[in-house]
Amino acid sequence: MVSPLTIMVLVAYFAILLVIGIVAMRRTKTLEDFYVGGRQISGWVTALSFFTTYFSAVIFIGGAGMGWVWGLPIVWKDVPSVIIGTALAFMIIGPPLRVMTEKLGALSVAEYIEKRYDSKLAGLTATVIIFTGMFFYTISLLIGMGVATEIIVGIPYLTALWICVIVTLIYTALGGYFGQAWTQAVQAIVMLLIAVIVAVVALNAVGGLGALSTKLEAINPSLARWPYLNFTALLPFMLSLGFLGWGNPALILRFFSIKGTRAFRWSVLIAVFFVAITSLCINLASPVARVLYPNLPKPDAAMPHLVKDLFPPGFDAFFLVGVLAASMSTLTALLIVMSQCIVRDIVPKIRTLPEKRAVMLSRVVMVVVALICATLATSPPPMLVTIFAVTTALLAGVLVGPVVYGLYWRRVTAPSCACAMMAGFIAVIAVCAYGGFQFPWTYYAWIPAIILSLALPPIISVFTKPPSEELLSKIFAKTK
Amino acid sequence: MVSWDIWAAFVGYAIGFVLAIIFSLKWYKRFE
Repeated sequence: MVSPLTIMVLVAYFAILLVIGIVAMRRTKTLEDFYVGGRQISGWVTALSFFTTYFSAVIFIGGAGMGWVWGLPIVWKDVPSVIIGTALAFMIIGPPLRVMTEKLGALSVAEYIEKRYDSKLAGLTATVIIFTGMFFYTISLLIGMGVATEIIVGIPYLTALWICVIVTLIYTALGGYFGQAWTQAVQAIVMLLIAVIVAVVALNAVGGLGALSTKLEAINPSLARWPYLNFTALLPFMLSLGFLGWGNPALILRFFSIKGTRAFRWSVLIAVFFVAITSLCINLASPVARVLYPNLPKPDAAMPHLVKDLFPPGFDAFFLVGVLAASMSTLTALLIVMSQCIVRDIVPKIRTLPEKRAVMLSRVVMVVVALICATLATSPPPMLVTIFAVTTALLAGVLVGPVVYGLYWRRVTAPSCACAMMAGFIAVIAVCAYGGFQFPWTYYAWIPAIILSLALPPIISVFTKPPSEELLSKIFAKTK
Repeated sequence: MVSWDIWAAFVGYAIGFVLAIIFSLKWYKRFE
């Protein structure tokens, strides 16, 4: 039975999001407004938007479940991928990508690749990979959101799924990127506060960090120190150095929208602060569940159990808002990217639309795609976890090399970019096929793909015709 | 007592902040 307090908190939360969506709609007039906020988003909103796009409900449910399984070594998981990866993304990719995409008039990652390399084939390949990756990511996200809501407050899976999809769709379709970014800023603050409160209360319940370590060691020494349990599952995260995030178009799209390179100055500090504190708090709180509930049947229930037992009745409603904030903020970013793939990357190749009709079509496409994903999430396709792992590897393996070289190296050529994308694609599929599309192969497939994606362009560019001076002068010209 | 390898992970979190501070003090000027 859902408590009246839970319903009140949820209604208030949804109302705030919808009001922001309606206000944002008034600012949204052009396709540039709809997809990249007119490139006028402030540094702090960009930072919070990056943080919430990166973190979905996985951090509160699946991530916390991993903390229950691994114990304190879970603190390692996010260091290279999330913390250092975020700082490096803002340092290496953000500012040049912002400058170059404005010069090229690119509103999507695929459009950036197409115009940077002057290659329709590269652009189309990127569009297909991005849409497929985002599509399965969305289905996985919706399933996680529905399951989390069911676990925490007992709202039936399907009810929770459809309510969240419809609310997210309304404010994203109306408000476009402005609606997305402003709601994400609110959601970021909610997520951080919930994570900090849960960590402080959980650590206090076991007598602090030192006591937690001692108690975990008594259960199994590997829960508190090296050698870690099941290290092969932790290793891909520790090797990634953020590459998996760099290949996520929903994440790097944040850099298109920031209002100038100077805005990055504070943005990076705010982004790293939010990702580091939130992940550290969850990674310290979740091993507490192992001490309190050593025989939990499902690790994913670790955090909901902590919230129910350590907090006064009613707090679960606020925790739910944190989980929904994490899910909906990522969902809204994915919806924008999928809409871009159709309306910005494919439709203009067939016919040119007036600006107003293009914005309307973007909204319609977003609604249709979201409803298809939600329908599929009501009866998840088989092997969804595998498909999600493979498509994530494909995004990183296909996109990272062309995106990074395109920003820094004048001599990189379109054929080298096409070869890198193809090699990344083949490497992921070959590794997964070799391992029978089973763990751990699906988790490791991105590694050879990234190596090829970064190694091939310099070699092949030397042997292929350099890009035209006309193209280079347009891309690398100094702006005033 | 917390093991040294867990403390080492906390240093990793601090490295993220150090990189962010380096960027906001100096690095961003390269792109202006």
